[in-house]
Amino acid sequence: MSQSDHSNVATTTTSSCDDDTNGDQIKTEVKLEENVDGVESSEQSLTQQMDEDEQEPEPEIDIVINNVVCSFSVRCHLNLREIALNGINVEFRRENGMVTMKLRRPYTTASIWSSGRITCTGATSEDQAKVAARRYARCLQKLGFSVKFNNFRVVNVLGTCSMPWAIKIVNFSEKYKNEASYEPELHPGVTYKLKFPKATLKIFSTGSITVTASSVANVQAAIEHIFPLVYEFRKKRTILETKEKPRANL
Amino acid sequence: MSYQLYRNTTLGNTLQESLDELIQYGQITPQLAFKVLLQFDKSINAALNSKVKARVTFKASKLNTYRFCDNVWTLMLNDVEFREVHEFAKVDKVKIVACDGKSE
Repeated sequence: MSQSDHSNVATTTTSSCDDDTNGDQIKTEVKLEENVDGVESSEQSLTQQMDEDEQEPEPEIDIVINNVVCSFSVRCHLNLREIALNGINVEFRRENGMVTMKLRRPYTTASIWSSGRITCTGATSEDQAKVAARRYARCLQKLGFSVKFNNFRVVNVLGTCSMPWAIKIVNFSEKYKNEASYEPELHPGVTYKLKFPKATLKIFSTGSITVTASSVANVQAAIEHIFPLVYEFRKKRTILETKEKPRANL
Repeated sequence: MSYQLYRNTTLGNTLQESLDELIQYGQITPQLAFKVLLQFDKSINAALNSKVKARVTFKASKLNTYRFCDNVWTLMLNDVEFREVHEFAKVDKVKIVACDGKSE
């Protein structure tokens, strides 16, 4: 099998920075490195480095984490109206039944329900998500609620990365009929559902891949899983595709 | 019912003072004064909506805090520049309470 030669790909996850990039734009930063022991990748690179003597340089792919969704509980009933009247940077739309509170640093949005359940979105790493969540809890504590920081967990992580080549997604989706679905009339990318770790990947013909999974580690594992599969269907980028136009070659 | 936001303006305050005086002299009942004030709320909302053409623009360097509750936006602005055609004013802190103008 040809793909086994290239099954080890070094990936690094980086957070999309608060200041210079917006989460909605896929930041692609792909380096082809001759040597496997690249400086920054050493910590998170795959352990399986069996074939050092392969003829092609090992690609290193940067995964950008765009959004981390976490949820936690404060174990007390929250009077939403009180939060809406006294809190800062809050919105209370009664029809939604929740208060939306925002932080500037880290830039996140929290949805606060009266049950004391809070979900926080927009963080760019798991650590940032936790910092943000604790800050929301502190905000509520300062408003006079007897909060406890409880049941914190990361619910969902969105990551993006870009392969250094384009992908023949039609052929790809035909080979992996069971896992992949390609409906060009609905979505320009292939949706690939991975069972273990549970992750959903959207694979575009430009080589961009977006992943949603339950943790940053799972995002990385999903990319490492998909890499040899899409490697088989790689092709050189056309001029249109290098210009980062995902829809251009449809 | 309209917002009673404009009772605390020069026009609203003088109207309330006059009504209080009339009540004191026994010329109108408090109920009537209350009715007048309600009508004032309605009228001034309508008048500001339809009759006022003057425009002031303002620009803040920072939105410090915002809040939205009961259909009312509360905005705290820092370093605000107000600008009419010729006039110009600079204020360090401004609090804006904005209600829905179309609500009846």
